[in-house]
Formats: sequence, C-alpha cells, structure tokens
Amino acid sequence: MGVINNVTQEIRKEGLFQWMLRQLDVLITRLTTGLNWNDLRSMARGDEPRRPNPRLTVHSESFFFHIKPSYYHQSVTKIGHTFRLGLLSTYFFLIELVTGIFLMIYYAPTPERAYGDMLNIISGVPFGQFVRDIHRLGAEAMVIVVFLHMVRTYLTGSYKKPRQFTWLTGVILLLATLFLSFSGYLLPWDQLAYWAVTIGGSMIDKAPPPVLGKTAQLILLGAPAIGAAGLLRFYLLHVLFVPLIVIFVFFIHYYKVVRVGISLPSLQEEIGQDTAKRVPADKRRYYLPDVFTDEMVFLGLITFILLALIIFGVYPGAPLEHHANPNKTPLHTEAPWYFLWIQGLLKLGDPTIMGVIVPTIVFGLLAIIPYIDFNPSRKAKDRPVAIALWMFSMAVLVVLTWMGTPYFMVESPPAEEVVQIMLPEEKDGPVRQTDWELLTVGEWDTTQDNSAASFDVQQLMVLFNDLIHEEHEKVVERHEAKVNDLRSIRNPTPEEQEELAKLLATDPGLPNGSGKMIIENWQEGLKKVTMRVFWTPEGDSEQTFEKTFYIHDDSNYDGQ
Amino acid sequence: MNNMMNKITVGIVVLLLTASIFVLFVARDEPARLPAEEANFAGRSVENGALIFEANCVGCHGVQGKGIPGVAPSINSPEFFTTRLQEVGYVGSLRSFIEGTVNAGRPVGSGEYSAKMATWGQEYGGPLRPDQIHDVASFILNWEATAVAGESTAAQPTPTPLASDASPIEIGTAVYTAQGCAGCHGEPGGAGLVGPNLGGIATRAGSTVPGLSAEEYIQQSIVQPNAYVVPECPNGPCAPNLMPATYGQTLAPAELDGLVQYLLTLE
Ligand code: HEC
Ligand code: HEC
Ligand code: HEM
Repeated sequence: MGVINNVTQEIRKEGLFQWMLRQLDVLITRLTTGLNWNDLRSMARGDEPRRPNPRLTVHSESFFFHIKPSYYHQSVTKIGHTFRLGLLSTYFFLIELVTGIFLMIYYAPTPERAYGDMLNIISGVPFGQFVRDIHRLGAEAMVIVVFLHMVRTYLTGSYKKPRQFTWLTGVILLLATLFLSFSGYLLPWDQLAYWAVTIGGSMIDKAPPPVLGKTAQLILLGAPAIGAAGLLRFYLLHVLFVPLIVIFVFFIHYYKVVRVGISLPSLQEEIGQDTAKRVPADKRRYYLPDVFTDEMVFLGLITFILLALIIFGVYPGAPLEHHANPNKTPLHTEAPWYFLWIQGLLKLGDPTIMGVIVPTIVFGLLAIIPYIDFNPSRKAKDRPVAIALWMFSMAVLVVLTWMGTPYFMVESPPAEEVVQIMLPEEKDGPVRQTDWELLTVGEWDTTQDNSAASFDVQQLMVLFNDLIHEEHEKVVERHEAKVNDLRSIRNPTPEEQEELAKLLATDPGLPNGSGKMIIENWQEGLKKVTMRVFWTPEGDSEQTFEKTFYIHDDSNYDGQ
Repeated sequence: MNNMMNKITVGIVVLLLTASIFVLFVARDEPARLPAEEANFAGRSVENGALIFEANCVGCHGVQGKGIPGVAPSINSPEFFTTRLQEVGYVGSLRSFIEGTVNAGRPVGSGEYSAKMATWGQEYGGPLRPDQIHDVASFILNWEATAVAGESTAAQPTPTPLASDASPIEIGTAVYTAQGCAGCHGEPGGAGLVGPNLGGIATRAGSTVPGLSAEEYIQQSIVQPNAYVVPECPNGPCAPNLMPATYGQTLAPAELDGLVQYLLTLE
C-alpha cells in the first residue's frame, strides 16, 4: 500500500506528464547503464561530460562496453594505424552469424535435401538469394580482413612483448576463420562444393603416419568419402563448433587487447618500452562518444559498400552449380581461392609433404613468431630481415595461389578444353549466352558455309574454329618450349626436331582440326546440342571428341 | 568538435538510409525474381533429365520415349498423359506415378514386355539419386504438351545425328542404341537381358548356319529373326517371335548395313 501511496503523492506533486518523463529517464539510465537523457544529448552535441563522468561508468557496468577501454591514446585511434581491421573482423563475424541463422531456417544437412533446400532459398524464399549473397561475400571478406589484420599487426611489430599471446590467439582465430569458410563451402551440396571438399578431405587422409591420417579423415567425414555423414559433420562444425571456438578465443583476444592496450605507433616509443596503458590526460580520446562514433561511421560505410557490391552486381552472386555427383569429376576442380596456395603446393610434389607437412609448418611458424623474434624494436628500420622475410613470404603466397589455378600445369585434352569453353558444364559460356530462339536447328560445320544459320550461330562457329586452332597452337607451343626454344631465330638442330616430332606423335594437339555443332529440337522448349571436334594426326585416321548438351529455353546460367 | 560530430551523425544517417533504399530495391525485384528463378531451375531439371534419360532409358523406351514394341511401353503418347492413371487406378499425380515407377521399378510386369522395368532409385538399390529421379520425371512430363496435341516436337526422332561422312560402323553403333537393341541384348560384352549377348557374334556368326557367311547370317538374324532361332538365351531357351520381325521394313538400307558392319566388329 505504501508504494502506491508514494507514487500517487509524487504524481500529485509533479503532474502525470512530468512524472512519466522522469520515469522514462530512469529507464533510459538503466538501459544505458548510467547515462540519462541529458547525458545522451550532451554527448551527441559533443559537450564536455558532467563530473563525475557518467560515460565512464558505462564501461564498468555494461557487458558489451566493458570489452572496450574507456579511452585510447589519440594516436592509435587514427584510421591509418590499425585500419580498424580487428573491429571489422568482429563485425563480419556478426554479419555471418545473423545471415547464417536466416539460412539455417531453410536448410537441412542431408544429401537428399540440401541441394533442394538451396533451390528453395533461391527461388522460393523472399530475400533468400540476397541473404545468401551477403553470407557468402561476408565470409570471403572476413578471410581477407582477418588476413590483412594479421599483416598490419606484423608490420607494426605489435606481436612483440607484451602481446605475444594476443598474436597466438590471433593465429587460432585465423585458422578458425579459414575453416569456417571451408566447412560452409560444402553445404550447398553442388558440384563445386563436393569436389573442392573432396580435395581437402583427401589431404587430411595424407597426414602421416597413415593410421593418423585415416583416423582423422574418418572422424571428419564419418566415412572414407564424403557423404551423408560428412555433410552432417561439416554442418555441425560450421554452425556450432567452429563458431564456439571463435567466440571463445575471441574473448581471450579482446581481453588481451584491452588489458595491455593497443600498441602505439612504434616511432612514439623508446625501444622496448610499452606505454600503451599510460596515456597522459591531454592525449586521451574517450570511447564515448568520439571513438564510438568513428567506429559506427566506419561500419556504416562498410555495410554500404557490401550492399552496393551485391546490389549493383559487382559481386556475381553466391554460385550454385549442378547437384553433387560423385560419379562425375569436373574437368577442372578448384579449391576455394584462399586455399589455392595449397593446391599450388600439391602440384609441386608429394601430397603428404606438400599438402600436410608444409602447411602445418607454415601455420606453426606463424604461431610462434613472437617467441622466436628476439629483436626488441618494433621500428621498421630496425627489422629489415623480419620485414624482408615477410614480403618474401607474401610473394611466395601470391605465386603459389596462381599455381593453384588451372592455368598452371593442368593439361586437359585440347578437344575437351574447346568444348568446355564453348559450352561449360557449369556457368553459361558462349552457346548458352546465345538467345535460345536463335540457336538455329541444323548441322553446322566449321569447314562449311553456315549462312543458313542465324547470325549468332555463325558467330559461334567462327569462335569454335578459332578455339580449335588456339588449343592446337597451345599444345604445339608447349612441346616446342619443352624441346627447346624453337621459336627463337636460331634454326632447330636435327635432334630438337626429332624430339619435337616424337612429342607431337604422342600428343598431337588438334592438327587439321574442325568442329561441328548439331542443334536439334528435342522437346517443347528443349534443344539438343551436340558438339563434335575432329582432328587428323599425321599418318593416322580421323579422331573425334563429342559431347551432348540439352538447353532449355528457361534455364539461365549467368551470375555463376 | 561540435560541428564535426553533427556532420558525422548526419553522415551515418545518410549512409544507412541509402543502404535501406538498396534493400528496398531488392524487395521491389523479389516478386519478379522468384518465379524467374523457379522457371530457371525447372528448365535445368528438364536438361538434367534429358541427359539421364539418354544414358539410361532410351535402350528400352526409345530415343523419344515412344516405346519399342515388345520391349517397353511408350511414355510419350496421348494416353500416357490423359488416361493412363485411370487405367491403372492410381490416385496420385502423374509425377508421383512416374517417380514411383522409376524409383522402385515394376517388380511384377504386365507380361506384355520382354524386359522388366528395373528399380532405378538408390533407395531400392538402383543407380539414380532422388534428385536424378526428379529430373528424369521432369523430362518425361515435358512431353505432355506435344503428346496431347498429337504432334511430334522433334521433326524426327533422329538419334544423335551423325556427321554426313560418318562411317557405317558409327551409324551402326548409333542405330543399335536408338533402336533399343540393347534393351534385349544388353551392351555388347555385358550380360544379355532376354536376347543373347551379341559380344563375340562376329566370331560365331560364320559357323552358325551352314551356307551363310557371317555377314549374311547377321543380316538374316535382324531381318528375319525367326529363320533361325538361337537355342540359348540368358533366361533359358530362346523363344521365337520375341525379337521384333519388323526391322527389315523400318530400317533404312544404310542403317541396316551399318548395324551389320558394327556387329561384325564384335569379335
Ligand atoms: C530394361 C528395359 C527398360 C529400361 C532400361 C527402362 N524401362 Fe521403363 N519400363 C520398362 C518396361 C518393360 C515397362 C512396363 C512395365 C510393365 O508395366 O510391365 C516400363 C515402364 C515405365 C514407366 C511406366 C509407364 C506406364 O505407363 O506404366 C515409366 C514412367 C518408365 N518406365 C520410365 C523409365 C525411365 C525414366 C527409365 C530410365 C531411367 C526407364 N524407364 C528405363 C522397361 C525399361
Ligand atoms: C524384344 C527383344 C529384342 C529386341 C528389341 C531385339 N532383339 Fe535381337 N534377338 C532377340 C532374341 C530373343 C533373340 C534370339 C532368338 C532369335 O534368334 O530369334 C535375338 C537374336 C538376335 C541375333 C542373333 C544372335 C545370335 O547370337 O546369333 C541378332 C544378330 C540380333 N538379335 C540383333 C538384333 C538387333 C541388331 C536388334 C536391334 C535392331 C535386335 N536384335 C533387337 C530379342 C530381341
Ligand atoms: C576473428 C579474427 C580476429 C578478430 C575479431 C580480432 C580482433 C582484434 C581487435 C579488435 C584488435 C584491436 C586492434 C585492431 O583493431 O587492430 C586486435 C588486435 C590484435 N590482433 Fe587481432 N583479431 C583477429 C585475428 C587476429 C589474427 C589472425 C592475428 C595475428 C595472427 C591477430 C593479432 C592481433 C594482435 C597482435 C593485436 C594487437 C595489436 C596492437 O596492440 O596493436 N588478430 N584484434
């Protein structure tokens, strides 16, 4: 009774409206853990805080603000020092969390359902493809951002005492980020996913000794090859286990960062000193409201760019290829780009050494950098070796990545290659890009006059012819390069010529090559396209390669 | 500082506003995009189904699904799309009838056909995944419009057309598949189904019927199958009148010649 009496008395004294406003202010103060309406307004105006400073209590009372220091040294809040890449990593992780939960609603991790569920997300769920795009682009961006964050902390020497452990937890976060992306790669259960992960899975198998490799693979995939068990495991790793690791290690990482402070630009400190935590009063920049606003602007800008990339189609969209088919290996299987360097390594030698041991050493070395670098100085001019080694490693990484792509050392039969370019298994390619109506029914031949065909088909035949000759040239050039530089001005020696002839006999390319494209009406809205490549090696009979495709009026492979 | 803060706040608001306008753009396009994607995937399903049909079904049902007399029924006929479900008293949709049949096969056949519709679905021990069954059904269902209207889409159900300069053996190989010979004889060298396997026929043909050369015997076996009934078939003694006796009328001379030449390569 007493409470109600008090309240009625208050209301009588102040008037109902005033009383309600006062209650609202109490609510705001509770929600902000210490800031009332006037404090918020003064912050937005950029006024000095009242004394005692209520903005500081927020950092001790609010969970989310307690992982941020209440003030920074002004020189570490400049964008050019950290590029806010750590913050950005966190932000992308949150984006992935939210969009991921949206996708989880519509997805079941079984081989029977997964692909169909993806089709539904794309064609039946409003905003489905949009959210997929954000999730996919966000994941790739996160890999880049986390990597760049590592590069920056390396170059500013921020991993040195007392931040060795921060770096170590960072390496775990890098690995977790990579694995997060990779485990998500399998989930659409399409050809792209299936074969990329098959390559990855077969690498684990190679871990020495064989018992260990086999066991590790069995634990990860649940079977010798990827199937229902592997999909379920990857799913659980992707949505549960790895995110938990990230969150767990993330808090340690953040705790360390707040605890020792962000390192000052190295030029502002004596060698071996660390004054991050002793910030003179006139150099302080308070989190509330200054740094907070900076961060929000930055994240606002990034959100804007991310959305613009998707909406204006700069990002081609999250791909979905044909349903995973264990019986049909694609012509080129490619790992996700952030693992191309491992694929490049694999082309260089033994899979156990190149696929398992070398990457393990690389990450191992990365993790212990702070403990083996005894140079106390963080200044770039004192660390020529460290920085040169780093730059060298980055260059090697780029080269290995390039070597991982099919452009390097992948020699598929030239006739297959030509057809793959004209009419790829996935993606659209020139034939599918042609308007369906304009694929004139008939038998078209690169050696004949095709003027009865539509202009588009005539163009396709010209391209077909060019490709056949290009691929042939490529093979011949490859042989020539192997034998010696026959294209140099010098005349080839007889031995070289003989060697070349030998190579050409075993792998002749497409001599006297020609092509046919046969288009038939097959069903309503469906045409059958048969691509044939003919070639006649010297002193041999004519050879052919043929592949059949069906093209439906409504199907559409662009944006992949 | 004061001024700066205001600018920044305005900046954020403007950015976020434009970002939400972006999202509105997406929202505006969604009602058109969703059906377009649906059509896209329906089209892809027919494409996939066509490849699966070509690889697994043409041997019995024919290249255009018109069936092969004595081997397998037409699944591209007006009746199939109009009265077939009533005839068998099936209450589900035509799609589920097709998917069910392909998935589980017809363990007990109607007796009209020499072959049996096998179990194709992985669930039933066959080779096709659920999505492939779905796709092949999409392909079959796509015949509906033309089948019911009574016209044939493909001008002729030509098998993969051959280069005009194709050799007789190439023609023969194509005809063997297109005419459904494999439906009864299996792939050469594999197991025959109801007819003798033709692997090795070139070797035995010359000595089967006295007086006929290998070439003549093979020609006769195709055109007049009952002139000499082979004694041993995979399921016991061969029945006369099982192999269609109409090839002499339906095959073009070049096709017949091609078949003979092709079979003569099976040593
Ligand atoms: C070995 C020959 C053979 C092959 C190969 C074959 N079928 Fe059949 N199929 C049959 C026979 C025989 C029947 C009729 C069974 C009966 O009712 O006795 C049949 C029936 C069907 C029916 C039901 C037709 C109806 O009206 O009841 C469908 C649909 C069908 N097949 C689809 C396919 C598909 C799709 C494939 C390829 C995956 C295929 N078949 C491959 C022999 C074959
Ligand atoms: C309905 C099933 C069926 C179909 C379809 C069929 N055959 Fe036969 N074929 C048989 C049977 C049964 C025999 C054995 C009985 C006989 O000789 O008539 C046979 C026998 C033969 C023989 C003799 C085999 C030997 O070992 O001497 C040849 C050759 C032959 N078939 C070729 C063909 C060709 C070519 C086609 C396609 C154009 C074809 N058959 C289609 C059922 C079939
Ligand atoms: C999910 C991944 C990661 C998150 C969310 C994250 C977050 C952060 C944040 C917010 C900071 C504060 C300073 C800044 O923004 O630059 C920071 C600092 C730091 N991070 Fe990370 N980080 C991640 C990964 C890594 C990696 C991969 C490394 C290195 C291998 C690393 C090493 C460091 C170091 C050494 C610092 C201290 C920098 C300094 O004091 O100047 N972090 N991290």
